[in-house]
Amino acid sequence: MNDLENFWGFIVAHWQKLLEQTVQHIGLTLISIMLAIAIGVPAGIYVARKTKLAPTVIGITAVFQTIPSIALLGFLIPLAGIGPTPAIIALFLYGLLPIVRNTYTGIIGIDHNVKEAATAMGMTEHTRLLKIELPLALPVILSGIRTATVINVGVATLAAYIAAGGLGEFIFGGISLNNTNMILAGAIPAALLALLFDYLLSRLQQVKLKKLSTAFITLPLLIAFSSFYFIPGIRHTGLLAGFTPEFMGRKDGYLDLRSVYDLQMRHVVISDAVMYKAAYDKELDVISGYSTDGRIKAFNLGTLRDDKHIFPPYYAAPIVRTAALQQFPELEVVLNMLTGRINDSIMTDLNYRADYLHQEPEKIAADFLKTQGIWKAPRGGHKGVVHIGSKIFAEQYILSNMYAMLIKGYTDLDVATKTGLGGTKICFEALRNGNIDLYPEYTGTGLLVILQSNIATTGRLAQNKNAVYNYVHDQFMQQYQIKWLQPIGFNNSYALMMRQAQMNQLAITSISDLVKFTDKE
Amino acid sequence: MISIQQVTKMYGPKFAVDQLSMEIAQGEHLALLGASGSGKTTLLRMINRLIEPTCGTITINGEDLTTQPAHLLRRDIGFVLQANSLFPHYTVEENISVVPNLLKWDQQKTQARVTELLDKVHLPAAYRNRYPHQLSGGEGQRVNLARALAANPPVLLMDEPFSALDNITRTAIRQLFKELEELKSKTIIMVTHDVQEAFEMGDSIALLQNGKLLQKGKPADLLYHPANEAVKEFLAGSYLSLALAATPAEEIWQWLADKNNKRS
Repeated sequence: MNDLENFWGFIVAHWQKLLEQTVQHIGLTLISIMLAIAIGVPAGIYVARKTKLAPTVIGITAVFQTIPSIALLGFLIPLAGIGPTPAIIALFLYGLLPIVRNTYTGIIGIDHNVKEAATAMGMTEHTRLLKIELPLALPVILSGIRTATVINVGVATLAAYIAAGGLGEFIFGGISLNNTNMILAGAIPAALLALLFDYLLSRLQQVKLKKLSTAFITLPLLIAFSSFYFIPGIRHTGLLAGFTPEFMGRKDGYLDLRSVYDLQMRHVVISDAVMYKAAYDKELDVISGYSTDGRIKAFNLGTLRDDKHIFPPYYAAPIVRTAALQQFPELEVVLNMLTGRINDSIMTDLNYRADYLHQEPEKIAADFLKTQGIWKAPRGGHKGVVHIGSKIFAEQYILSNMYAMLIKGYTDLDVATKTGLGGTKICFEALRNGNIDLYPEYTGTGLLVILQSNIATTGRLAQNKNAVYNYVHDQFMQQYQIKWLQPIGFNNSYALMMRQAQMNQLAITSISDLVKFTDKE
Repeated sequence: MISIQQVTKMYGPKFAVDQLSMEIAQGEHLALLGASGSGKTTLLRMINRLIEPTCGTITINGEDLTTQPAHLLRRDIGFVLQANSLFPHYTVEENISVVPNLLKWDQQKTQARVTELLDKVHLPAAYRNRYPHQLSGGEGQRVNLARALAANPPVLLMDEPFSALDNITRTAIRQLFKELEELKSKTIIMVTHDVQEAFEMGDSIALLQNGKLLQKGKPADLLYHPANEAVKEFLAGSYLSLALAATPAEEIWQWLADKNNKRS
């Protein structure tokens, strides 16, 4: 009951944001579906005429659908940038297959005698298509459109990764901020939208077959409705910031940026997976990155000095289930072997090798351990299996590979890695439920995202990274029976970043400079 | 009226119709008879250009078919297929009105024509709002005929119009076709593989085999004066019943009477 109240509380507090996201979501879905209809139906008709082309054309549309959505969005950034355009292109490509295939099947499936009769009555190709074939194929075409729409309502949540908005903002924000209400506030409306569209289209399907026009009368209405989505997007002047969902919700992130610096600038929500690239491609001017990220160097970005100290430095350390430590007591010593070996510049360099030189995380990890003289060949032991997790960026891949190599080399344990868990919540829940035994985490994330500490606590601990470490160490042990091992050594903190060239040009070196500049605008 | 001259249709190296020539007179009711693969269906479809000949020409009233666009030509030629060729999303009335609408008749004229045709094919007026799936096979075929006749075309092509019907319905529909006044003045070409049907419905018969015309003539000619062994062979199986169908009763009576006279 309490949970439900919390959920309603969240909805009431954020209804404007929810409404905005819902409109964006509908806009993304409808525009992409209409494009898919505009291209897919004629393409389906065409291949129904030239049946030899059908396997090729339908095959091509099927290929689009096999590309993982997030990868497709990634491919599109260099071509179409970030924001609604690439999102709509991706959704359009996903919608094509069911529409082309069903149009083709619908027309091919019409009784040959009926088609011949239409021709024999003296109908032209065109008349036959409009009066006979399309109306008879319409139920099949509509069911293709239904399929495509339902798929796209789901895939459109991923649009939040590339700053196109939609209900994905709540879903991914909730995942990275460990906020279940936020996840549900995005997921439930998305599910309802899918059901609603499915229902409306099923009603359309029952409309009298020959009234083809009814189906097309609704189109202008839909276009009018979905254009609402674009109205806010038309203005585009001045600097644009891209912040991750996690940054948006954290006190040592956007919230302090507003309250301490009073920064007023236009911003979009974007995944950290594509954020750096988008800054490099000049799609964004300011981003919220991590201070050790290799992409800072790779993309020639500069870090703004945090002159009012809102981004405290945090340690990184492996966090391990105590149950796993009891089962394999030798684990702790091995995991602590990295302690003190990686400082800020080393970590940045390791990340740079992955992000810029495109070396395999496995090779980077092995090379580093070898230069440190602590690499050992795997013993090939079978005493048990340790499951190591990692979040979805280079630093975590590298660290988890190092741990895997150390465990295999120094113990008789085997290792299974589950890398690329997309967000703090997913990683942490996997750890709590015993799906993984350990992963590298940051004390700041532990404090603000997982423990969701109140302002008094964070204020008391702020700026003292050892105090933060001790606090999360004790709290995790008490609440979750999860142990923070020794800090690895390097600090990680949030930082605002811009392209180095633009910083020079605008003479911006600190966040205060940025605030002054945006105020002038 | 219809003149087929040296018409050939090839599918790859195969001859579907092989240098075939034939004259069909105004008002003639011709049955195109043959086994499957004889080329009869191909020949029929070349008359309304559903199939284009590989070479040769076809003329109607001396005018080459290819002088006007195919879809305009087809509006002047009625076409009756098997029962399931009605447009399933159109009512009976809309099905019958297809060609008048293509010809842009005015609404009232078309409606009146539908009423007239429903009456002629013995369907209740209330049927005009029914959909094809609500009709029996025989009713569907009556609508099919009405649809083909709607714009009053001088030529009617029929492709195995009775083959999908059960025996009893088939007899009834054939009867209707034979009695329908409107059909009597038209030039009708009907494809069938049923010898009995050809003899019953056609006032002339063209027998086809392997894309070639074996013989064209009155039913009795084919029966009593077969042009060659192939014709004789084709008809041999049902000779007696065909003889009854091909020979008017008074002829038989006369013949019987003559014999009686001789005896007495």
